[in-house]
This record gives sequence, structure tokens and C-alpha cells, in this order.
Amino acid sequence: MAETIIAQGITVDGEISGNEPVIIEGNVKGKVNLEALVTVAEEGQVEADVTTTQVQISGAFTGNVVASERVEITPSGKVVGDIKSPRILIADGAGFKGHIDMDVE
Amino acid sequence: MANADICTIGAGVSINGRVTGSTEVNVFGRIEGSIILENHLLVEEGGEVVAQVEAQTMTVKGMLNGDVVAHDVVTLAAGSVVTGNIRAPRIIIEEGARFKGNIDMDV
Repeated sequence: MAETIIAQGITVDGEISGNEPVIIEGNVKGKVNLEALVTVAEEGQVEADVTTTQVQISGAFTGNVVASERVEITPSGKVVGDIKSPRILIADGAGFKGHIDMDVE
Repeated sequence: MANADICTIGAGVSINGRVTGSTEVNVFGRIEGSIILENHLLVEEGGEVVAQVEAQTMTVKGMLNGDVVAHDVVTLAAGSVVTGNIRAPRIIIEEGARFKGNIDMDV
């Protein structure tokens, strides 16, 4: 019930950590260190290095991603940065600039 | 309020740094650093805030450690444990709340 949502109109400047899914609809700057799904919604703006299991990006993302399971950039996602994950999906329409490394175990 | 959404920090999540904005924030998890809100801040039962807080209104049901400035009302609900200084025009301490610090209602 108490699922974590950084809502529109909220800015978090610093580090977010934990083991529960986080949905970002607002602004996040700094670092995200999680062991769960990180969702950047269409309105979300993230300037952070993210280390977690799964990431889904539909908004604007600048920074590096290390995901132990999966990274998905949806058609509305715009990403600048490096991604390291065994499974990486980039949908038609998505924007991406950076390095991809799927060679991780 | 133009935006009806509520920002929730879940029980398994902690934020270390600065939280600012105009949306209501509910804390079930942990925030360490500073919070500046033009809205209501709720520290839920089990929630922990170690921060300088500036908010419009505030309700504490969990743990709060830090100085609070609110522009309207601060409520320390039953079961809350609060340490720090509170400055607000209206401050309510319910029976069962624990508080240590200064209170300034600007009277």
C-alpha cells in the first residue's frame, strides 16, 4: 500500500536507498541505490547514477545505470548515460546516447 | 491544489539528502537531511525523519529528530517520538506523544 512515489512537484537531492520499488514522477538528483524496480514515469526527470535490479525509463534520464536484471527504455524515454545490465530493451521511439554493456553476470 | 498526487516514501526506502517541493509528502520510511515543503508533511507510524523541516503543516505519528518550522499547524500525534525545536503558530501535542525540545508559538 505504501509504495514509494516521488510525485510531480517534488525534488529529491541526495541518495535514495532501500529494497522497495520506487516510482519517480518528479525530480531526482544524486544517487539511487535500490534492490527493486525503479520506474521513471513520463513526467519524471532524473539526473542520477542508479544501481538496482530493474529499471524502466519513460521520462528524461541522465546518468549511469547498473541493473542486475533488466533495463527498459520505453518509447517516451530519453536517456543519456551508460547502461550495464544483462538484459537491455530499447523501444521504438526512445532516445539514447551512451554506452551499453550486456556482458555482465 | 493543482496537483492532487501525494508523494510517498515507502517503509523499505530511505532518502539521504534534500527533499523539496509543493506536493504533500507521506513518510513511511526514512528521510535524513532536510525537507522544504509548501504543503503537508506526514510522518507515519514507523516513519523516521532526521532532518531540518520547513513545511506548511505537519503531522507526526512516528519518529522525528530535528528542528521544525511550520507556517500553520504542527500535530504530534499519540505514539510519536519527537526531539527538536518546533516553531509554528499552532502546535498540538496529543496525549501519548513524547516530545523533548523547545516550542515557539510566537505569542
